[in-house]
Amino acid sequence: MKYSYPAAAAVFFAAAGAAGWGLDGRAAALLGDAPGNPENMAQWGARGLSLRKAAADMKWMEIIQHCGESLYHRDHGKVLAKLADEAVGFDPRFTYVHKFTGAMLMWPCRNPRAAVSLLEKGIRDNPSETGLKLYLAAFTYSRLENLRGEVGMLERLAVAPDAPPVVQKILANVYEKQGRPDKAAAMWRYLAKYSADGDISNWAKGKLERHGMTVPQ
Amino acid sequence: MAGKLGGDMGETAFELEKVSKTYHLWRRLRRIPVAGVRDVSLAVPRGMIFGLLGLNGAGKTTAMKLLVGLLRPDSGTVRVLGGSVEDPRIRGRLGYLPEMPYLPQMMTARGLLRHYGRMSGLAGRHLETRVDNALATSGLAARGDEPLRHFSKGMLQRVAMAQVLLHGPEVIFVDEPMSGLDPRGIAEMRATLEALRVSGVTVCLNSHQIAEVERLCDRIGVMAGGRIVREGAVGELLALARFRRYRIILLSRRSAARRVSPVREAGKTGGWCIGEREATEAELPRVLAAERKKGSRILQILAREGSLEEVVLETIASAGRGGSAAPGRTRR
Amino acid sequence: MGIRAPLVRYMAALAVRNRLTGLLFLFAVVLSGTALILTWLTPGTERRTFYDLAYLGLEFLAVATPILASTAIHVLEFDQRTVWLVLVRPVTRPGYTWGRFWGVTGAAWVNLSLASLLVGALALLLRALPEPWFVGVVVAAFLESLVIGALSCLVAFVTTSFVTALVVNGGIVLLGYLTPTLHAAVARSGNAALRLAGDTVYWVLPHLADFSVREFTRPAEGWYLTLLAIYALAWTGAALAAATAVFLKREV
Repeated sequence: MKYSYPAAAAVFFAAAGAAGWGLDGRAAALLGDAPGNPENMAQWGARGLSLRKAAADMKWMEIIQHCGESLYHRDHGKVLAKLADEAVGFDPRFTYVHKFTGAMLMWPCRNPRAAVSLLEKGIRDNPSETGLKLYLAAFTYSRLENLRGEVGMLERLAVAPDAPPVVQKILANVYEKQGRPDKAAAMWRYLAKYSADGDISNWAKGKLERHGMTVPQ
Repeated sequence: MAGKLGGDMGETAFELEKVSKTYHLWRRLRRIPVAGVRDVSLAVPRGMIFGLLGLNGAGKTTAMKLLVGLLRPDSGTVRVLGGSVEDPRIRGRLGYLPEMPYLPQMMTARGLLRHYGRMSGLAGRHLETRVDNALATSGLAARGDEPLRHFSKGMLQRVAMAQVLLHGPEVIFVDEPMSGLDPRGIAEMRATLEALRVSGVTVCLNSHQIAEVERLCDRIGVMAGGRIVREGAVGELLALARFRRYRIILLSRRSAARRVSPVREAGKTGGWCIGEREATEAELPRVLAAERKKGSRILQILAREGSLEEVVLETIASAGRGGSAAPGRTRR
Repeated sequence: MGIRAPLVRYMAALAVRNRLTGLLFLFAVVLSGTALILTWLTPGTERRTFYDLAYLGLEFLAVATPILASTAIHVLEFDQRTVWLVLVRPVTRPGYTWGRFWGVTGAAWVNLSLASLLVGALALLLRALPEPWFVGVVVAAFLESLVIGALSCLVAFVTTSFVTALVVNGGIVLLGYLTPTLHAAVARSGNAALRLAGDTVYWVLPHLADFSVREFTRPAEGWYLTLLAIYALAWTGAALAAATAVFLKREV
C-alpha cells in the first residue's frame, strides 16, 4: 500500500490544530497569569519561555539575601518592596512572598503602606487564598494600634502550616512588647527548636540566653 | 527466469541503460547544472571484476552511487541482479564500500558489524557467527571489542570491507579500495578481491591505480566527461594496434644525440653513442626519417603493447579532443 | 518491518553514546543537586524551590536531548556520510526516518527516565513526597520529547549542515514557547499584517508552552494530559510524515 506522506502530514497537522485549540484555553486558565499584559520585558520573557516560577524563585532568593543584611530596613523596605513586586509580577500565585515580605514591610521596616499594597495585590490575584486576608487584617490592626486584635491575628497566622518563621518572630516581639514574658518565652523556645530559618532560630536562642532561660537542644 | 528474491536470475550482474544524472550547484543565487553521468550504457556479466577508470570528476563515483541506489537517475534505467536497486530485497544482495568510508568512532568493530548485520537481515546465532568470521578474516579478532577510534587507517578499511561482505553479497561495489593503504594493505585488498571473484561474486571497482586495475580486472570501462568512452576486456584493449609502442635502438653521434632530446643515452664509444627512443605506430615513419637525416644508424626496432595507463590516458585525451576511436569498442 | 528494530537500535546507540547526550544528563544531575542545595537557602519554600528547578531540568532535557542527539547523528550521517552504509542495505527511507526518530527520542527518554528517578529520590530525601504535579510533569516531558524528536528529524532532512539544523531547531523551540505570548501581544495590535503574521506563526508552530504543566497553578487534569498526548502524537505524526516525504526526495 502506497502512502501519500504529504497528505498524511496534512491530516496530522489538522488534528494537531484541533487538539491545540482545545488545549490552549485550558492551559491559559491553569497558568493563572495576572490579567492584562506583562509590565516589562522580563515578565514577557518569563511568560513566553515558561520561566515564571523559576524567575519568581530567583527574585525570592534575592529577597531572602536582602533580608539577611542587617540594615535592610533602613530604607523602610523600599528595595524590599520592589523585589517583592518583581517576584509576584512573575508569579502572582507565589503567596509566600506576599506573606513574608508583607510581614517584613509591616513590622521591621515600618512601611505599612507598602505592606498593605502588596497584600491587596495578592488578594486581587488570589481571591480564594484566605491567609492573605488574615495578613491584611493583622496589618490593619497594627496600623490602628489595636494590639489585642493584632495579637489575635498574629496568633492565627503563626499556627498556619505555611507561616513564615518571621511571623512567629514578630509575634514573640509583640508578646514581649505587651509584657507577656511567658508567652514570649514559649515562642522563643518553639523557634529555637523548630524554626526552619537558622537565623531566627539563633535569634530565639540568644533571647533565651539573655533572659537566663534554658536553650532547648 | 525470475529469482525467488525478486529480479531476474540471468547472467547480468548490473547494468545501466542510457542513464543520465545531473547535479545542480548553487553559486551566487544561480542554479548551475553539472553533468554527473551522460547517457551511459553498460552491462556487466556476473562473476568478474569490472573496473571503472577515469580522471577526477569523470563520473565514476556518480555511476557507482546510481548502481547502489544512493542517487536516482534523471533518465534511463539502472538494474542490479535483474531488479531495480530501489527494491530493498535487491539491496540486501549487494555490498558497497565508499571512498574514505567513515565509521562511527564510538562503536567497537564487533558492535558496528552486529548493527550492520542486523540491518542486512541477519540475526541471532547466524549473525554472531558471521561477525566472528568477518573479524577473523580481517585479522581483527583480537581487537573486535575496542572502539574504532583506536584503529589505524588500514584497520578501519578492513572493518569497512568486513561490513561489505558480512551478509554474503552477490555483487559488491568498491570505490577506491586501495586509497590510503600501505603496500601490505594493498596486497591484502587485492587478495580479498581475487578471492571474491573465485567465489563467484561480481566486483565493480573504481580506482585511480591503473596498475592494480590491470592486475585485477577482467573488463574495464574508461569514463571521461560523464560518459563511458571505452569499454572492454583488458587484454583486448592492450592489443589494439593504435596503442602499440615501438622502441627504436639507434647509434647516433653524441653531439647529435644531445641535441635530440628524446634520445636516451644507453652507452658511449668514441664519438658515438647508443640511444633509444619511443614512438607510436603513427609517429614511427617520421621518427625514423628524422633520425636517418641526422646520420643515426637504426640498430633495432622493438614493438610492445601499450600499458593500460597509456590506453586510458590516450582514450581520455582523445575523448576530450572529440576524436574517433577504434571501431566496436568506444562509447560516445 | 523486520529491519526497523535494528535501525532503531543502531540510531539509539549513536544517540545515547555520544558525549552531548551524556553531558546533558550530567547537567540535569547538577541542576537537581543545585535544587537540593537551594532548599537550604530558601527556608519556608524548600519544596517549591526544589521542585521548580528540578522540573525545569526535566523539561530542558525533554527539549535539548532530542535536538543535540539529532545534531550529533546529523554530523555522522550527512557530514561524514555514514548514512550511505545504512541506505545501501535493505532499508527503506521511511524505515530510516522511523529508526532515526526513535533513536533520538529513545535517547531523550533514557535521559528523562534517569532524571525523573533522581528527582524522585531527592524528593524522598527531602520528604517532599507525595507531589501532585510530578506525574503530570514527567508525562508532559516525555510527550514533548516526542514532538521535538520528530521535528528534529524533519529539520535534519531539510537542512544541509548541522549548524543550520541546530539553529533552526533552536528557533522552532524558542518560537514554539513564545507563540501564545506573541499571539496575545499582536492580537491587540491595530496592524492587520502583524496580526496575520502572529496568527500564522501561532497555527503553524507547535505550542510548546502547553507542555509546561510545571507552571500551572494546580496539577493538570487527566483529560488535559490525554488531550496533550493526542496533540503530541498528532504533531509527531505530521512532522514524521513530512520528514519522510522530504527524505524520499533527498539525495545523499
